[in-house]
Amino acid sequence: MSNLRNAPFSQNEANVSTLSLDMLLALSPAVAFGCVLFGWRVLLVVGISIVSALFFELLGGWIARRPSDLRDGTAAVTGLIVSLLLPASVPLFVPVLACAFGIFLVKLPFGGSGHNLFNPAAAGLAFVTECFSHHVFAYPAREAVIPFTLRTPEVNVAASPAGLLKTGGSTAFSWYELLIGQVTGPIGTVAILVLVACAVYLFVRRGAAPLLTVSCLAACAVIAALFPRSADITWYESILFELCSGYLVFGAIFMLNDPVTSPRHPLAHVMYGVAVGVLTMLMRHFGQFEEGFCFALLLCNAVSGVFDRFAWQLLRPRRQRRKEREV
Amino acid sequence: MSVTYPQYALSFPSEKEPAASLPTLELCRMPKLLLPLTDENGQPRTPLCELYDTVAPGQTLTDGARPLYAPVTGVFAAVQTIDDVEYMEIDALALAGEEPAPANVFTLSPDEIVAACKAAHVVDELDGADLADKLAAIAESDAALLVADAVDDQPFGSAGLATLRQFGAFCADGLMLAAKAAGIDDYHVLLRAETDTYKEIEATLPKGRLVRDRHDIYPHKVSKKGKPAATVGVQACLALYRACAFGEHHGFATVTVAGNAVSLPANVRLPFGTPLSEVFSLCGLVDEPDKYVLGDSFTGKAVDTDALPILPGVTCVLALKKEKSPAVHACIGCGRCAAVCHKHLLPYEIARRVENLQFTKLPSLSPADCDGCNACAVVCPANRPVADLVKQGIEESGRVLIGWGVHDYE
Repeated sequence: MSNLRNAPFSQNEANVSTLSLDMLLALSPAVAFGCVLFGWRVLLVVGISIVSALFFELLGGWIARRPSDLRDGTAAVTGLIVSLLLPASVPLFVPVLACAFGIFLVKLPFGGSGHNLFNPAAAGLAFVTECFSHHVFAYPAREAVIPFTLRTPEVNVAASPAGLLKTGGSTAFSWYELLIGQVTGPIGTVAILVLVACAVYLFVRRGAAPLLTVSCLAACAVIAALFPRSADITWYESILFELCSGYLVFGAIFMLNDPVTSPRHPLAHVMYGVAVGVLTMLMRHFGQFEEGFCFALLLCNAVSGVFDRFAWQLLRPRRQRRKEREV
Repeated sequence: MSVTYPQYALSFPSEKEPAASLPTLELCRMPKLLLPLTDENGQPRTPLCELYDTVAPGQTLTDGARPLYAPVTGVFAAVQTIDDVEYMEIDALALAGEEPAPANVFTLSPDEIVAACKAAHVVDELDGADLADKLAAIAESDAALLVADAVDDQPFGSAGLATLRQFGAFCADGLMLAAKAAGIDDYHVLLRAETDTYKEIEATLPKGRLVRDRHDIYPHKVSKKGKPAATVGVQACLALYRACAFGEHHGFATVTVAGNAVSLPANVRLPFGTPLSEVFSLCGLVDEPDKYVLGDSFTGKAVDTDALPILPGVTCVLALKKEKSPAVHACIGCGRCAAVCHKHLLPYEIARRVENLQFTKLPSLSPADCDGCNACAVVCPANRPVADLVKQGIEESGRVLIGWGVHDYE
């Protein structure tokens, strides 16, 4: 009776494809807002990035003689996240290279989706950050008009809030400009309020774990309050500037919540989020670049299983007590 | 009494309709007979016997020019109105199957109840265990509450609800007997139903004995002020009542017949041993089924023949037609299986250790605590057979593989 599958015979509606679809839906307002802020070239960057991610997934499957299923949507999510972390005026080879590195060298060699040790989007972005930092951190100035062109547009470059903090100056932006995204920065990460709304959608759909996001941001806020990077800002201004600059909020919502590379246990979620937050702030203080979230995330990816095991060991006495009560 | 669920328990769409709202079909007893109280010439007949009298075959039931005679043995159950174009609106005498007078069950001592239960071989439909053994175990435990469970917490089954609707008062009496035998003062019937059905059933039960659970959540647990509560099946309560009142052997069950290949999903009252083919021919199949399932869709067992009998412990049978089986992906590590597990296990971790043949790592994950509720496999977004791997983990736990002689495994 080999054709008889074992129980269960009904399945929850949520499956891998709907989880990815939720992620894409939650990211689409960020794309739309990017178009409003930076012009139509955003669509070009996003489109090229997603198409190249899908292409490399197919190519990798063909080389390895292993059928690649694009319907699970993980490759599309990787491509979209990569593109949203780049400036709107970026040369188009940058997202292509980032997707190639992330999918071809980081995801597929470990066995494809579900088996990858490191977040492919973070790895791809880390790669282009190291190789082309002059392109990745060249954010167009607010008043610059970005033409819809395949070539790299010539636009005025301005420092982003994260860049200003890195050079020790206080940011020139007010708090509401930071929250509604009237600042220079990557395509999808500047509109903090839009991102928070997307996060609420993901939390409700259980596509993301609130504990991960909140613990990461809380750790960053504590460090920002204790060690402001500029002498002439108060502690609460420091928290606001640190959280709203770079792609910390975006990463804490969309990259930290990659289920494959993050731990599973709620307690491990808290420890992992705090670790990523602390490492991000260390990278910002002492690192080479203005934003270090993807490096912090990759470092913690490598040990996310350890967090899980540690949480399981830590809760052993509680499990024991509960078991005794039930018998 | 409170009903509790794991924090991230499995919530699912109910598939109970239309079986849950239809009357129970009877495969086991003579159907009700209707004898018109108006003869062919329109002359009225007056019943000669009292309500609830038992009548013998051939007995004269009415006076009049053309009197009625009882065709079989039965009980004069009611006067019922037939409304039809041909007959017009006429009264009829309803003759039900014969029912002996019940013994007074309220004066029985706990020992007598247990003895009757043992003699009748009452089986609890919740877990297939012998009810007498179960009651003895409950009497020794520190349970403060006895619950007759009619929740049917899986998608298709509604046999508990149907049993209560048909025999509500008898089930409540049976629960009272079970509580007496187990030495528990506090007892309730727990039910999941729509408001109308709930009110209808509430009216037939003793006051304050029915508790309603409003959620479609699996699995559920009942407790009283933090202390655990003991549960027995509502059909077992009915069987216990009939064992004590009539000395009747536990021979019948109410079974939900459903699934997407069944044309009329219904609850069927049938004797044990009825083959699946009988119930499916009663309820009709719209399609050639791919498989039959003994049990509900979360925990049932698939079989490919309808010659198998329905035995104690089964309250639901399904006929499912072929559907494209969902694609199985690699574990994406979402942790939902661990969140729904009411035994607080890590199903994904146990499954990974089993797949990697790391059996020595299994004992610390205590797979033996698994009670086979299958919630992890239902919730898995990658459609992986997590529950099967955990079951394999129970067997393999602690086994050491020596050398390369693992020929059983691919």
